[in-house]
Amino acid sequence: MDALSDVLRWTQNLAYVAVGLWALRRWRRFGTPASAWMAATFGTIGLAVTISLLVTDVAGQETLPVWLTGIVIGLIVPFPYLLLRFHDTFESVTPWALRATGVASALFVLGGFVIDLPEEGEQGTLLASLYVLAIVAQWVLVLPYVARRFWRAGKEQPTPARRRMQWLAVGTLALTVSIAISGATGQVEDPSPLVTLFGQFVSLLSATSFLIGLAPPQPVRTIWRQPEEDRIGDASLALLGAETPDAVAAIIAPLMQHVVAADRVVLQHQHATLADTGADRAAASGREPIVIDLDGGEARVWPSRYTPFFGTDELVVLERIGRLADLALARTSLLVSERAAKVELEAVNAELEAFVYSASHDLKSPTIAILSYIEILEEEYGEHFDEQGQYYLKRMRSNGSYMEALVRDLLELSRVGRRDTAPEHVDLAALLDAVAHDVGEDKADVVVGDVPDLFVNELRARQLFQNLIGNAVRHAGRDRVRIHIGRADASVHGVTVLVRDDGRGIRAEYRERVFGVFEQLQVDEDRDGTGMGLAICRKIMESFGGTIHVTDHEPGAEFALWFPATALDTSSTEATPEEVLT
Amino acid sequence: MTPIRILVADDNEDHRFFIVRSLRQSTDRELVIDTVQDGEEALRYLRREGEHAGRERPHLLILDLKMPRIDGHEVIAEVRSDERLRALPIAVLSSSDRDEDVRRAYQSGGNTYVIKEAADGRLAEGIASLREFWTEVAVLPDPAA
Repeated sequence: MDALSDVLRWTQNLAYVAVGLWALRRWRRFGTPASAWMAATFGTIGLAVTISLLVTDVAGQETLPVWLTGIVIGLIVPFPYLLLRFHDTFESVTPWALRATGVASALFVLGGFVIDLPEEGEQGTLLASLYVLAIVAQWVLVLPYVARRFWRAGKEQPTPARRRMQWLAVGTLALTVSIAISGATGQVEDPSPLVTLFGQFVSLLSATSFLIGLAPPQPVRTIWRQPEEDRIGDASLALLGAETPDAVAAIIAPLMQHVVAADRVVLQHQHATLADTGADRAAASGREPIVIDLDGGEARVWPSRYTPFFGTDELVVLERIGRLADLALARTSLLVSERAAKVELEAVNAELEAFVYSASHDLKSPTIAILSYIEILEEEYGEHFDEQGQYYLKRMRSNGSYMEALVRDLLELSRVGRRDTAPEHVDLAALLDAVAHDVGEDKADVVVGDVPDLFVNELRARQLFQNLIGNAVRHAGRDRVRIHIGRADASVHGVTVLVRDDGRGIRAEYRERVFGVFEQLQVDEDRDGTGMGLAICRKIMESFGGTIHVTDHEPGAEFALWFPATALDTSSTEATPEEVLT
Repeated sequence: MTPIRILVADDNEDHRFFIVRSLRQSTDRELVIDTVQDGEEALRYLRREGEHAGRERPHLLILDLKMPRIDGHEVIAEVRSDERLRALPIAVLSSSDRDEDVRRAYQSGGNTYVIKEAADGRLAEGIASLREFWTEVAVLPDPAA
């Protein structure tokens, strides 16, 4: 029993010494009022314990000399007052309570020197008993009060600070119990060894609680901070989905607020206040904020009064969140400016289309008039023209018709991808059969292989293949060109459809130029095409999110049309290897 | 047979000339054709206001869309909301091939839509078909009723 008692006593005493030393070190490092009062509170206890240990256990003295007893008592009795002052640096304590506790403590210190305290086993005087009782009474009154306030304030703090404040409260309460027990056992003749042991145990609990609460080891802090880390992790994920700086601020500001239980967080970026979480509490407290620098802005955080003291690590975490905000703000700012550029581009395009529409309409009217008069000339005065005159009339009509077609195609080109109706299921095989039928079997022999079902604007798909087949027919150089259309390859990203003919083909140097506006590689005697057909095809493929290009396949010409997965009907069946065009 | 009265509204003088010429070509039917230069005048004509007071109402309106002051779309809307004009058949003859123009013209009460395309004599053919259908095939309401 004695051995156990010794171990408990030693551990407890060493814990108090450690707390005292840690508190002093912290005060030297930070020098804040809170750390000063904490150093006073726990440094005095640590010193008292050290003196007792040195004299009794190291020097082997049975008891302390009277003057030293006075000093030790003088170091211990102000503990409630000092703890109250420590607490007062966070949340003010009623001045009269502070003063009363201070005066009482001063009297107790004085009493330690004046009052003749009984030796162990001796019956003390009434004054001595009253003195001890008064001290115990003060401790029992003040300590639970402080413990309760720390515990309650801790509830609103981030996890590490909360845990530390709660351990501090536990230590304070345990100390109260231990004081009450030793006060009681000191008054009885022969205290039960079990009660004494229990008292020592509670005292040890109090010492270790103080140690954990005030100086938790790094691993413990890391474990405590896990909920905050999880929250930062969740926020990082949420930030990936944020599209505007405001959305970023809506994630970052509450996170910063949570991590330091801030009264207020203000986030400013590019001269705009993106977030401000409540101004009243912080304004009332009149404290200076912590400023986290951001690229092109700053975050001002008014942490809770407890966080700077109980959560030094949290300030580092705050910096980390600041870097996270930087990345997210940079990304979303870029997104926003891209979006603005896109809107601007769309406005310009709309303006351009309006211009093209109006210009082409204005061009159309005179073209129609010219063509109409040519027709009247031919009908009513045709017989007055000789062969040469007839030829000129024919050329006029041909050019007029060409101009009309040019205007129409230019208008069409400006419209592709804009004002299109929603995509729909397109049975490509059926569509190709219909287009082939329209072109006429005498002009083209269209063979449709395995083709995917599309999910695009059907009118545009029809226009696309009409242009491609029409193009093959026009540039075949002979009648009845053979056209094969089939799937080349497929992946999860999309499908390539090849349109191949056995006509004259396209020379390598023209394979990109054919998609330009007004590109006619050869001037036909009677121009059927305007040279804009393939430009329209490319624009249609782009509006589908796909691509079109001329392959190196020879002889003949081969167009590779790549449709992205979004332009395909997902219910379409996969091609079997035999069906794939090679 | 009573003559069929047709009003042609088009801002382009050459187009008006060609439309009237094509309407009259190769038909024995007696047609009374008047022309106006814009939507505003078309409405005055139909409502017999101002210089058009005392006019007889036409059996058919051939209407261009893009016209100054009041355009074709507005003319259709006005006619369809006018108690006395509501039954007037309207044939739109426009150079616009925009789907939204076609759709809107039918939605607001146009009866047919022909695109002005002159190559290969298509415009003359289109106008001839229009005339044939509206004067020989279709039955028209009495505009005076």
